[in-house]
Amino acid sequence: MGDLMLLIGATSMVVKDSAALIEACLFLPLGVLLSVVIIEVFSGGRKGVDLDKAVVVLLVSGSALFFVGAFLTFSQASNLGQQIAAKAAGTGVLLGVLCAVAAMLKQQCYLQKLLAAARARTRRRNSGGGLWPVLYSMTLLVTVGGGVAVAWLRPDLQGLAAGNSTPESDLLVMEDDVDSDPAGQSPLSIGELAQDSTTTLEPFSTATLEPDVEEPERAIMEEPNEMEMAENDPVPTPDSVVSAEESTLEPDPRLESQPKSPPVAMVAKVDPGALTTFKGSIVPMLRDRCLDCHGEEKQKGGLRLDSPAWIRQGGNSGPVIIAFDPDKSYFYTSTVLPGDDPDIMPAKGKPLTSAQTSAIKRWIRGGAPMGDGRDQEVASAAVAARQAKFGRQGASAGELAGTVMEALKQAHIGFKPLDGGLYEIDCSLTRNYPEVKLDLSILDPIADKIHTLDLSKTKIKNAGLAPVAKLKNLRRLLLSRTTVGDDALIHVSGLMELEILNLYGTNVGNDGLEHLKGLSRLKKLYLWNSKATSAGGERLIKAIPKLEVNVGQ
Amino acid sequence: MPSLAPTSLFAQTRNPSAKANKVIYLYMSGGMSHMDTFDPKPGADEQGPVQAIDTNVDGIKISEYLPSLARQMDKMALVRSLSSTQGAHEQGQYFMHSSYTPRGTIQHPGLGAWMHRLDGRKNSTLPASVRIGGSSRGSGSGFLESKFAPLVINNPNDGLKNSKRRQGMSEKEFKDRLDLASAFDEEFHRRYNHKKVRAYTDMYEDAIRLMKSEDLKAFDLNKESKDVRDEYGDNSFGQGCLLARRLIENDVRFVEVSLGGWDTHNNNFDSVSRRAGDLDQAMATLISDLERRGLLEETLVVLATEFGRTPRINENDGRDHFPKAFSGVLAGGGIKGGQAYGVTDETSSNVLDQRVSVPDFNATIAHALGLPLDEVVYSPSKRPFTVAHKGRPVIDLLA
Repeated sequence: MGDLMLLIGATSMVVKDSAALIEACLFLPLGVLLSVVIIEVFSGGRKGVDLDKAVVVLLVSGSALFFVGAFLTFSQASNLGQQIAAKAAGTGVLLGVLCAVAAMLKQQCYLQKLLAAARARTRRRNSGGGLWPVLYSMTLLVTVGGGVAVAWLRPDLQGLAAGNSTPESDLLVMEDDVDSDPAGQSPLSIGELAQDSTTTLEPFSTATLEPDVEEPERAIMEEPNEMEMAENDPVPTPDSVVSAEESTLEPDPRLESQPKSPPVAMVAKVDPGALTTFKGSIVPMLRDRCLDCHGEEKQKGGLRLDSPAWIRQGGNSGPVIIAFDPDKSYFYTSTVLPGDDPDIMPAKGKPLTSAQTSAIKRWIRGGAPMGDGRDQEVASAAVAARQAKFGRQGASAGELAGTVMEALKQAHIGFKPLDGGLYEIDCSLTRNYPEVKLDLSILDPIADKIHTLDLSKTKIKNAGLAPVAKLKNLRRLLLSRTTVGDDALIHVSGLMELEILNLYGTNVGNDGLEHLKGLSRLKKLYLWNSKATSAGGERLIKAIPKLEVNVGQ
Repeated sequence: MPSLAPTSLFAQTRNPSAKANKVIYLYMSGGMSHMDTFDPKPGADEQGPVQAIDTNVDGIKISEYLPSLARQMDKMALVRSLSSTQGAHEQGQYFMHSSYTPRGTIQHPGLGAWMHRLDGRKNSTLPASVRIGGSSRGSGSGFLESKFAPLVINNPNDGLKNSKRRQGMSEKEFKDRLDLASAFDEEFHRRYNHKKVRAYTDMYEDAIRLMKSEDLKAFDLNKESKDVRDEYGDNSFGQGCLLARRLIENDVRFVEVSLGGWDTHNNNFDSVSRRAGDLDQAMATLISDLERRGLLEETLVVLATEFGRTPRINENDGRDHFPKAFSGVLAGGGIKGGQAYGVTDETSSNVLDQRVSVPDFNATIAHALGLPLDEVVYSPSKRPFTVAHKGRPVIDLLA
């Protein structure tokens, strides 16, 4: 009875996971061998006695393992715990089953011998025991041989099992995805990709997009930091990818692939070499190590890896591949975790070899092409997304000329790209660097691209505001808590797009406000703690009816 | 086979023209009674003695305990359909701050740390985020490096303690000691060149830069006139709000101010009226003060709490924990003011429409700040996390 319960409970745990079942089957010969050895130890090689004790030992150890497994499942709600649990439970069940089988064999064997002896007494002829002793000896031999063979062949057997269990995925075509495919062709399956060597990308350029230098291995603790990467990291960022793309017209693109020139274009091209890597290394690896859990039958974490469309889609927590950026791609990062990390992929079996992980890295750095016709589109989108981000963080900024960018940085002036190719320029922190003189003429090259100019708390003077007159598209000007006075607003009087003007805490008085009368789009004016009064504000509202003036009342 | 519709891979949830770039986060610790503050139901038996008053926006009424805020209603968006899954203080506070429910295996960063991590700091001498009072549940740096943790100030009147050189120590002596310390550290840093080790050095450097900074004055409330200090209210929360305004003005990006004592299991109406009085005065002053300085355009003011309180009044004249429906407030930068979002039923017990989960609420804040909701940040154990934990921003709340 106990055996049966054990069997049902643990089998359900094991069968939940077909790979574990396969693995458990590999342990079967070992289990039988172990059982036989234990029985022989306890029965002391004697005939047909004391079997009960042996069986009890086997059952106890089996159930102990089962309970350890169950405990681990609940105490460690992670991948690792479940793996251990599945193995322990599987082993426990098998021990239970196998001891019963072995005991039966042995009992049968000796029973048969006794019967034969009895028969011999009557017939005076010894037939040698018949079939059962032979079966028992055969079992011993086969299990010893099988155990040794398994020890040697286990990795290969696993590969074989994985290959066998998902033969259909080779022919798999995702109907769901046909509509979303811009090229109108069905996405190719992994199998097709591996065989169909004609499905290559058009060679956009012969340039390798990355210098062929292996990146020095990072310390595991280190996560990539955007700013650091942009400044120190020799690995090509999308910026360098872009500059490489731009340089495809050059006679020798390789020489130009360092990120020297300012990034201009928004399109990056995938590396055709990466497609070769994909077909040569990634596809076989996917089939051997990934599809068991992320294939047609099972999609752990909602992730499926048996067609380019599924790979691009990613899992429950989003895309697993960010083209050109292996360190942001879970598909890569999860394979290079420490071996004992519960989140390492593949979750089962040995970690990938360093050759395999570096192939993944190379492939993603090259734009992660899969030859399904969407490579270029996806890669460009990835680079565009990255550029938008880098712009925000100040490492690069689309069309902002490199020289201006550098000058702004030197002057401790912040900038942030906004919609429509406009920028927000923030000078307020120059107050912390009194040694650097604030000179707004460095904005001249991008004068018509400035949306917001924040000069609050700076040491700007009336005369220093002269370059502001050129900022034709300025919408928002913050001069709060500066010493500017009436004359400063002369430079503002021609900014026809201006909507918000902050003069709180300045020396501007009612006379200065006269300069603003022509600014028909002005919506909001802050005058608290300035020398202007609400009367001055009222007069201005007569000229600009939509204006809202805040004098701090 | 899962029939997931393939989503757009590189969806641009980023909002480059986000209007807010700073946050003042007012946290009502203990669970603010929604019925007695922002979601009153005049006429319902459960309402008790609290009356509802008109605001300066037609059709929106709030509690009589909040008369000054009623006059600022046009700048605020009430979220009346908040709904949490956590009914205990510790878990609820953690969830509200971090958007994740507590797990045994990891600590999640709070919004301030996320903001610093995803969008950087603005003022390089002052800390990116500051917490005035309150607890650290879910509002710390979580699995991120300690440099993303907020600076904690327990009493706003004390300002930043221990930020001056010891008396009698000259500038040169101080520098010599620092040089000595870094000489000792050099070998260790060379041998263990790790992120966490470097984070310690960063922390020291930040502290020293702050000690020497002009902006240190931002922490000193004595620089404000008596009138202004009284305007905010002579209590720790009021002064905390004033300090928050000073810090925001000096480009600190995220300031949280806590107001405790909302756990009104007993004597609800007395306690709530006192808390609400402090809140009303401080928050209304804060909003108008930010507004006249032009800072409200770029500063998002948030009022949040871990859960509401039961509409049913218990035998001790109190209200108990109620996460199913409660209220929060958003005001200022990037927010469309003058609205009440979401509707609860006639006793404020159930969200009838436009339910806003805690991650949704935080996603709305993050979106108003232009933070990328889809950017995955990995913990040191390489587990993926995002700001606001996949909450969806409520677009109707955004300007």
